[in-house]
Amino acid sequence: MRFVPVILLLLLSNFVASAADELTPQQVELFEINVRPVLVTHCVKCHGDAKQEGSLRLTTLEEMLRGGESGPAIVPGKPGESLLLEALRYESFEMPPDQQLDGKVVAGIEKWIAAGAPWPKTAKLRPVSKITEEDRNWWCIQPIRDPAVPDVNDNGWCRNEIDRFVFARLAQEGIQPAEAADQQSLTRRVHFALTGLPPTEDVQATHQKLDELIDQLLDNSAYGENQARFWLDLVRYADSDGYNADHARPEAAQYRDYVVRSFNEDKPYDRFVMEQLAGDEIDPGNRDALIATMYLRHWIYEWNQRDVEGQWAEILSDVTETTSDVFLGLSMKCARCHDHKFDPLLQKDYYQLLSFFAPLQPREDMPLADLATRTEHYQQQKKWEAATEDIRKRLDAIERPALLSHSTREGVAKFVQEIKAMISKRVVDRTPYEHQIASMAARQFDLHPDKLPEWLDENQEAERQELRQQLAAFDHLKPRPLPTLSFLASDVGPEAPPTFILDDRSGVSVEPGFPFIIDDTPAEIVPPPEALRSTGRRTALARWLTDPQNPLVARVIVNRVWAQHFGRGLVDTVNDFGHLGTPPTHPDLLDWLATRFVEDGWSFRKLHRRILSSATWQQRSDRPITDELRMLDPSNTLLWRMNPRRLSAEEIVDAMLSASGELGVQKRALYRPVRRNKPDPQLGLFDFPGRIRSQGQRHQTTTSPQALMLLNNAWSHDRAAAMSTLLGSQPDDDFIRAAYRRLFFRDASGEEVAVAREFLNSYESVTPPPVRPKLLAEMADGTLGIDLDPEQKSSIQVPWFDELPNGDFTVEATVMLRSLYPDASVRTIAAHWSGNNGDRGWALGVTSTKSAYQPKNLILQLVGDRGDGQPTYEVIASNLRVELNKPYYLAVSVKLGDVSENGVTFYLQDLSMDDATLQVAHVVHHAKSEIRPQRSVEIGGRSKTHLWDGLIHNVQLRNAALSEEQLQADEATGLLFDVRFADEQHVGQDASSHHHDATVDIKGATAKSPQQLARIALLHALLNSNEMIYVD
Amino acid sequence: MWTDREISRRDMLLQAGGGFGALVLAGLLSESLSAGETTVAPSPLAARMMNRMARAKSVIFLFMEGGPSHLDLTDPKPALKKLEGKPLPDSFGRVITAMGEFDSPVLADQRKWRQHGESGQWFSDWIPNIATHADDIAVIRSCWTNGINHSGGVCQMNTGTQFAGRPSLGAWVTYGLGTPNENLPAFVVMQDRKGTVVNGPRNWGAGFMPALYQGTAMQVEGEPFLNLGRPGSVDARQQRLELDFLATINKRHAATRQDNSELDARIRSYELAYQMQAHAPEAVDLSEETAETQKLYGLDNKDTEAYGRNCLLARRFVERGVRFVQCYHGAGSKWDAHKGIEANHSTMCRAMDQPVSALLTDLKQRGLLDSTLVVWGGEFGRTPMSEKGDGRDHNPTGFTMWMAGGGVRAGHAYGSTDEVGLHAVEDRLHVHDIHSTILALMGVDHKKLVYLHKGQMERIDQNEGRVFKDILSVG
Repeated sequence: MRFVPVILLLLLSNFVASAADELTPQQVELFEINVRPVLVTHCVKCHGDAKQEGSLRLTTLEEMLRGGESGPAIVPGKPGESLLLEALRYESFEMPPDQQLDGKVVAGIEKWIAAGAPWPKTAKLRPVSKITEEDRNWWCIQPIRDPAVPDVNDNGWCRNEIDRFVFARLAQEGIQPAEAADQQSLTRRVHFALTGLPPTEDVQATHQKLDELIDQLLDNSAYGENQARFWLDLVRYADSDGYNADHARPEAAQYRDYVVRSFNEDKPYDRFVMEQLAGDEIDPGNRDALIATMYLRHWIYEWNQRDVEGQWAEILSDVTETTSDVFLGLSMKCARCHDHKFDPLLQKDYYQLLSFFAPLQPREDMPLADLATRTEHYQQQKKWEAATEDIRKRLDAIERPALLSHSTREGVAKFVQEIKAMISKRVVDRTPYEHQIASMAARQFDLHPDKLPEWLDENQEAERQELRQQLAAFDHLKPRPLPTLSFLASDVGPEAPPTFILDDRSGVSVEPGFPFIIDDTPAEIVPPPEALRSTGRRTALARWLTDPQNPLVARVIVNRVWAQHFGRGLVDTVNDFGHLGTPPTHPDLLDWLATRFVEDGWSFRKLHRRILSSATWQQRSDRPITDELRMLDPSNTLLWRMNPRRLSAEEIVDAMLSASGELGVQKRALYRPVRRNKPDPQLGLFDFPGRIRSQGQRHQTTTSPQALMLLNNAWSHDRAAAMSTLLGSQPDDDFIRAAYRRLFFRDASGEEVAVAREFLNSYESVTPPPVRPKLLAEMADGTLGIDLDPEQKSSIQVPWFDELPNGDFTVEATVMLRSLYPDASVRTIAAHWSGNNGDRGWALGVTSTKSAYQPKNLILQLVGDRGDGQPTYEVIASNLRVELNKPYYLAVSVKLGDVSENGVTFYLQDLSMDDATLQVAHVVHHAKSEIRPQRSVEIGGRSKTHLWDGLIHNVQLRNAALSEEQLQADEATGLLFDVRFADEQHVGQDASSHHHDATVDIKGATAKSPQQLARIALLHALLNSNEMIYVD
Repeated sequence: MWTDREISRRDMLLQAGGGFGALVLAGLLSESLSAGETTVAPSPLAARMMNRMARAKSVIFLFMEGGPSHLDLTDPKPALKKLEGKPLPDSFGRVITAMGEFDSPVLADQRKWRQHGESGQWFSDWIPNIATHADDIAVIRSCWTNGINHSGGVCQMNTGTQFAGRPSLGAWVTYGLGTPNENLPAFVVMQDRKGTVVNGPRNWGAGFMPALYQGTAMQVEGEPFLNLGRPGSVDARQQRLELDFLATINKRHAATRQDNSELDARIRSYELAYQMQAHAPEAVDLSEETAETQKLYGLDNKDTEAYGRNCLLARRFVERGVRFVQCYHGAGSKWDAHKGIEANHSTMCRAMDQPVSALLTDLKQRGLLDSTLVVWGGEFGRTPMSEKGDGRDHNPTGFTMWMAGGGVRAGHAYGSTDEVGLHAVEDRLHVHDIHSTILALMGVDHKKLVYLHKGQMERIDQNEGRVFKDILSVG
């Protein structure tokens, strides 16, 4: 292979016009000057021998007169009626399509038609190549150089070589670069740049050196996740097919994770490319190398497309175009139908490139085994096949017709004859192309071999059974099946199907090759070992791409990374290194970076480090533009300051989750499934791409639907509410300062605090106190309690804390019970237990109608260790009865180690009578230790079941077993909390000094106070702010 | 001019180099280049192209999803009666049919056909109300497309190609003409029922263009557009306070970053959002309409109510400057009469005919028909051959669309299909031609409405469309 721009021989048209007897010299001149060059250069490529677009051929006069689909091309003597002229004038058709011809040229044709269209008798026109000297000087196909780093007089501004290139270029214009941004800005910038996440507050405290921070972040697994996002856009990764049904692709996520892993391993780019294009050929036993070939599966796919061949052609084109987009930064798309209009890319180049993929075979059964194992398996398989060929052939003759005629789902019948014929053939009898098409078609129907006995006649079935027995006799030859993976791709076999140029009727196929202008040597294809059943074409392509001499691949990827960090590539048009793209602003720097990238073993980490360590990248972004700068470089292409950056869709989501402390509970946005027909509404609004075609750089739009979404959608309000909870109840000013630090990674100024405080005050003043249903009701004795209705599925929880009892404990409560369950469920007063008999814990409650302990029995359920290290469940029943609709004081005191009668003591007192006695019951228990689970304490239920119906005034918990005297004296011994429901404004507040307030989640009761709402609104506004989603 | 990246206009010209690119682009630029680089960016929804020649300022595209039968509505074929029950003669050529039943016998239509209006255009008795507008309608009988199935067909009728990834017609129009009323979406999509339009939101997507140009789907139930309503916990006063506070901190933030016009654009987007929140509910409030108007659209009848509502909303939207409105009828391929076409099309026509007729009447009486282009059609037509005995398969090779209003030379039937209505034969209009013609009616030269993407000058018609000039009443 060679990567030197080739010198082309212009294929001059075959100028053999014999003396045209009938034509005068003037007529010949008219034709040769006005007509032949025009037709030859602009028309006969598509309207000639190889192709006849619109069934039109313009190679001879006869053909012109006969014309095409729209009628004759010319009417001699009548320019006004000649379609050709209309088309050249762009009046109906627009020909030639790439660019309208000069008026003078068209006038020449007109003159010729008017003169009766003289044509030398034997003249037949042939196309000429369009590649020019200018094309061969195209910058991006020149070899990558290793330019010397410029010497600059920079007064110590430069931090590394990048800076010297940038400084030298700025110096040419007389521009000084900007100074470095402040430490806080840089810390935030570097975090988003490398991980796509904001810094955490503890980073702020460490005052780490930036270079160390860069290294540390490059080692963070969030780095790979962030990098994966860029790559997934390029390869149009999605979790669904596209098209109408848009079926899910559950396997695809393995590819996403592979990409994350690859970046985190700092897999060399050349290896990364090799794996994705040809992992099956180069490393068949490596799971990751195989998963990488899902790169070849991300095309859109219509599961019931009858035009199987048409769809297959689309798929191959899609893979070809994507590969060119991703690795070469050249869009080949239009060369599918004709030579590229603006770039020297030929239609033939397109099909040569496509030819590397022509043998592609989507695989759901791809063996995962190393070469030795594959070889052994293959040899054995061959033996078995040889020995059984005759039997299988006869078996197939019986089975296949019956199977196909009874196929279900879409069925075989719906395909056209040609495809049915391919399906009807045995695999060994199919050409590679037939097998590709037949197996694509086979994805649309199901066969049912188990039903063959019903469909075959007696004789056939008997013969089939006989053959099957014969076949089974060779089972000992059969190799053991290999483990397989699905949603991968390999080749259809060692032989490739031919590749034809679209609309080319010459019947000559093209062989794999590279764009002519870059490398005109034939592709060297080394067949892989026979057992791999592959052509080696994709390996050849991958080797060409990753050859350090390839002029595009390293430049393209280095430029993509640069664009990631500066918002603009050294070549601005990251996907188009062609003529409509922009040439590099710093060609030497691009080449120097590309050279270092390859030299560094194609390491992304080193490239990121190099860029982020530069003074160029570390410049401040808020340097004001001056008149001079506005004149010299208004768009900052020379980098006299850093470009600020809006966060990507994923970063916005992640940053908000990070602010509310929910990242980790919720996965990063990268992991949201990508449904092509149902774009994620949140990400989609912030320019998440369609993932249908390769996209190298996202749009960046600012729209009112974005504002509406962040403003009104519940999601952002929920984040604000969660963040408010996280910041807790601190004084306003502290709350504001904490919010600024968490969100913007800086201290709020005094003025900012004042503005925010004023907002809180005014918001609070217009916010009415919450209208919520009365939560409390009175018991018969006038005691207030929270009114719990099992239908409402309320939840009252005291969050877990360290001191929760794991030994002796006492629970006290004042309650009123309204009803029992009709079954044996328990009306629970308080629980520190999941309800699972294998989990440690306890629950205090009252038995219901069908309880084995009789109804209305005050019981303690306890799961603890009896000395055998195992949690064991027991019910400790007091046999004290709790009557309905009566207020009670009740308690249970547990001496955990004491398994005598004195271990557990229950107390119950009816509060509706002034003189009711305190009932006491002593009960034996067995658990001795280890009763504490890692969960919150629930009031009025356990695991949101076994719910209380009635009122609860309070629940007290102590981590000590109190005696009757102590209880009567209401001592504070061991008091952990005293959660009360006696004040509508402070429902669930802990009356002890420990602040273990209960969170009360009752329908309609979550209404927040004006102060809470104002704080949430403040955070919501900050989450919506520009500072939140822009990085300086 | 927008491109893959938001680059300055000056860059754009430089990048395009001389020659072709520069010419086209220069034609596109509505502002002089001397405006300077760091002035406030113009709204991306400002018009890029003038449509001074055009009569049509808005489009209402009535999309009959699933493929209505031209043979039973607008393109009478007496030959079908003669051939009834027989296979189609080979002379008509073979086509691939979606369901593979090519050799099924011909199915005659059971319609009563009549000529209507002074123009004497033919319409069947399935669309008696639409027929009364014969003189305001231009019927195009010679449409053809490539998409043989719904997914490809609907995609192509919207984007020009069967394959996903390109911008929809509405997105192109929005890109080219912007909107005079940024308080409402420029491109609104409605559907008559809750089903999913084949391919989903991709049909009104912006493809490779920024999402800004994509259609905004109206919700079938609840608030008109997603995220339009404040959450229940926030009242108007509270939201205003929050927005004011947000503006304060955003302006403070922008003060030290003066050259970043994006920041201003984002501040503005919140005000626009607030405005939209106020205006959109008014735009969709049908209680403002008289009982007579509501009745005209059939809102008093359960058959016509759903589509009547959409058609009436469409009128209200174009009144308020919305550029492109698409109303899907039969969302979820309900026009797809593979069997029992009599029952299917009776129902579909009953639900569609009166509302569509009312729309034409209403637009006309309000003087809006001249400035509104109404386009009616599906993704393809149906075959003369039967399917499953009494149905018809998809027919992409010949079908009808009709247009009315905005600059259309009405009262004519254009083009024709062959004797049995299988292939378009005379004045054939490919989907690319239909799109180019719609743009022309809006005063946009489809050859000049270009978008630079991956080094290519992309157009709605992929460089293949021709304007069907016969149908233009001006220019």
